[in-house]
Amino acid sequence: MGVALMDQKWIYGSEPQQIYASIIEGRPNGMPSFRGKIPDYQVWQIAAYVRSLSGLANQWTANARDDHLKSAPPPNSVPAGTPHNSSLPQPQ
Amino acid sequence: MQSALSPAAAEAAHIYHLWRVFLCVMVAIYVLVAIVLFIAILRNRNRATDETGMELIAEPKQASERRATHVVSTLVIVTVLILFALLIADFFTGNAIYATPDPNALSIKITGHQWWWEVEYQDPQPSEVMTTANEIHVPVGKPVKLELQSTDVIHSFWVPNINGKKDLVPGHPTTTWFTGNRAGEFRGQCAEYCGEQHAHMRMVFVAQSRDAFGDWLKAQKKSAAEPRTESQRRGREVFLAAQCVMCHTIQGTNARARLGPDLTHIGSRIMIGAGEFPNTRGYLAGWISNASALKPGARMPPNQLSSDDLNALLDYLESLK
Repeated sequence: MGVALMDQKWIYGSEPQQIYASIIEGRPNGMPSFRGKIPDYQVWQIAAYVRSLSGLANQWTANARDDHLKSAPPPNSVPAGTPHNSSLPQPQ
Repeated sequence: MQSALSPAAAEAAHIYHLWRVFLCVMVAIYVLVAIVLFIAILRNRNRATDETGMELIAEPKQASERRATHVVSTLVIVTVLILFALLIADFFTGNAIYATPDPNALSIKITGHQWWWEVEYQDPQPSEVMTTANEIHVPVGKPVKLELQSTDVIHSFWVPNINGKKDLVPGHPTTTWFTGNRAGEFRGQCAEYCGEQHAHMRMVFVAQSRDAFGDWLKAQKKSAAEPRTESQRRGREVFLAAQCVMCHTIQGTNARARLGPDLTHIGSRIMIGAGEFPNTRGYLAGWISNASALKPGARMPPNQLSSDDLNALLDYLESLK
């Protein structure tokens, strides 16, 4: 089985971009590469979730579920392509 | 066209007859009540007035009061009797719909997902079980048993031409039966609010002759067609290398995920997107590129493919008849 994700031990780093790299590239001893298999924005969501399992979630981050009827557009409605902080041109 | 007033199965016919009984009785009562109301309005227009112009209110005569009491009490009793008669008619209809048919019925298991229908044709032999999505074919004249369950939230199975609604409750399998009695292509839809795309969770329902159904089922049980052209071969490689394998099954390849609909015979389907869009190359391309643009909130993520890859993939999927 893989390493525990709910502890404070990070073999390849706990920064979001490091977890992103682990998921995209794969790691030795059994972690497969998911490059091309999971959309980019979902890999960032997974990285944030993995960080939250160890208590590293930003305490000012909005809850997944708030009190309003409809808080955010469906996550799959985001435009396909580059992350928002990228310098590449955004698809309209 | 979906219509509960155009029955294509014995069960829908029972419901339709009950509806007609109710309609006739209610229309007759409505007309009678309207007539009585108008008579009452028109009858007492010229009342006697005194010097100041105020209406003189006469003491009601005993005879007419007694008559009025008799009429009203008779009508109350008649109303109760009519309601009881309608209740009995309703009971007989319900009995006819839920009567257990023969144990050799064609058995189909339908699993509701957000927002598509997983359809599994049962068979005593596990290798003969066939899985498809959003499209149901049945032979005319043969009883069909639908086993309904859900993986996430409550849905409701409703093909108006066939039968009434039956809920798909997670953790609580239910059953409904019907026997189609005429061939045709009908539409069904989800009848219990299940989230953002509840209104667009439809299905195609085809009743056909026994022979046509047998041919269809045999074709659907086969594994996916092997690619014949270079483009189709490339399309299959694209399918296996990109995000598709994470969610979809194509029998005969390595793709065996069960998160999304089974695509083994996607080329043979009449509609895509759970009965929403015609299965044409353009719609399929749009659906693959960004399903959320066509159906906001759909669980399928966008796919950024080069146009050559996308064209090859479309060639391959269209060949999966």
